[in-house]
Amino acid sequence: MEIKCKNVTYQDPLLDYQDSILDLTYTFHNNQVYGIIGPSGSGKTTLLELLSKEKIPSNGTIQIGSEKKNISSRNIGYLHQNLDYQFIGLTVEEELDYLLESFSYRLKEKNKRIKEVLMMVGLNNDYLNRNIETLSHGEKRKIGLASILVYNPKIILLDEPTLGLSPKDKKELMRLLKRLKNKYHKLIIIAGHDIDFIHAVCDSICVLDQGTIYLEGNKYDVFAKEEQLKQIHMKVPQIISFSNLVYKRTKINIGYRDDINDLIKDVYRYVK
Amino acid sequence: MLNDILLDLYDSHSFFNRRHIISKIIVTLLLFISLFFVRSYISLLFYLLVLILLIFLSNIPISLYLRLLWQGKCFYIVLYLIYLLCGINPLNSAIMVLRIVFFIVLIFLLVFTTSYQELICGIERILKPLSLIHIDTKAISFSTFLGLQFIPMYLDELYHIKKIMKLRKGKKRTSFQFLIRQIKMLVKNAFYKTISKMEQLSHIMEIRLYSTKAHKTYYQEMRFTCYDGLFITAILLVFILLVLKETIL
Repeated sequence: MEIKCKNVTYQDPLLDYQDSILDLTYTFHNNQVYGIIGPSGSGKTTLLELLSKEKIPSNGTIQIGSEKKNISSRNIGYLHQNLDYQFIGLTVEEELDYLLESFSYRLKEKNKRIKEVLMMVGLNNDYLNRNIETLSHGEKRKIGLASILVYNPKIILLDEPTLGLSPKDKKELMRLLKRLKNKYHKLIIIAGHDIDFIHAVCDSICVLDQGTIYLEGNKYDVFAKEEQLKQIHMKVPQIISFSNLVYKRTKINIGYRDDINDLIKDVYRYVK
Repeated sequence: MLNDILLDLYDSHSFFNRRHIISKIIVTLLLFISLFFVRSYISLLFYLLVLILLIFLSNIPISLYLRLLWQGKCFYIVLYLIYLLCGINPLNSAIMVLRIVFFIVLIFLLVFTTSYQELICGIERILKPLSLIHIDTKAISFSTFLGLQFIPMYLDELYHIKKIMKLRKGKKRTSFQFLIRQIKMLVKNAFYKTISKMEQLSHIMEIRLYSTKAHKTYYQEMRFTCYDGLFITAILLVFILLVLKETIL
């Protein structure tokens, strides 16, 4: 299953600003994790809103699934950047229970699924009776993630998923997303500013600038173009920046790695 | 908050936005009282034209008003049925429901084009004579301000919750029981979230040193210009015409 965006443009009808805030053509392939990065106002959130069918493109088409069977929005899970518009229920239990009932889960299955999903995001059953408004930002984000995973969508869209998360939570989220991709074959698209997280998790990167695609491709190829990224005030992940610095100073190509531990091992090997 | 978001996005230099708060409040009150004189087709049409003109003068897209008004459609239908059950004929019932819709539009016009401090300050000034008989006008004006914010905020919450429900609709056909559950959740949760936002709003006002005990509650003042006088005169004429139409003519 893939998402094909053909000549998609978007103009906000409620704004006086006449230029498109988005104008692109791109294909997202199945069983991959895509990262969408770019400076503020480049159209990352707008793109996710168009893919989640929250907004309708002014022109162009977004085809989700095959031409014969266009996938419906109930197979797409979208985690908003602004969590004010993420939840239907007041408490965690009400939120998850409503969604499971909406997707025809039986009562016995519901309780099991709720426990499973809370464990996946690193929370326990004590959160069930908590009012969502009283949770911390990081906890709300986890509940938001749980609320989209609970009905097992085929496509997962995450807007700034690491906002408010501790380093430990980020690592757990990384593991979860990799498992969702490898074991459950989900298509995951992450938009955000946390370059290091996106580099660690994603396979392909799409860099947006002023609503258009500035760079796209495999993450190593994209982040290798450090100078081009600097032109739009984007930084590369620290791991890649360090590798580039080592190469610049010593002409030793230690290569690109996803994990800092792997990089340290490589550096040790060269030094030894 | 709806008001802040709108003031950031929309033309705050529109004719309506630039009016003095006293003129806006007087105009809103005049139009509200005029609603009681809307009893026939012609008055209804005339009133609607005046409202459309004011919406145009506020420079806020009519689609926003319609989007929010549409969230209350079930409420209008229930109200219409209640009027019918009370023995009021269908035409008069429809006019009465439309009056409520127009009243909601008046609140939108006032709230969307006025900042919080300005609105509270304006209501305080109007109520100032009551302070001579030791009535706490500041507390009343703050409560009135929160009351005015309630309807737009509630309709906005309904819109957002409905949007999420639609996007996450699992079953192709929903059972009657599930539909009732959806409606209950929608009405209750939108209400709770609106109250919670209004509570946050009142905390923010306190943080920004607004206090009903303080001597001064505003920091910015607009001048009352001749345009404000003309504006009030024009709406007063509308009011007089409606009264004359329904009483003498």
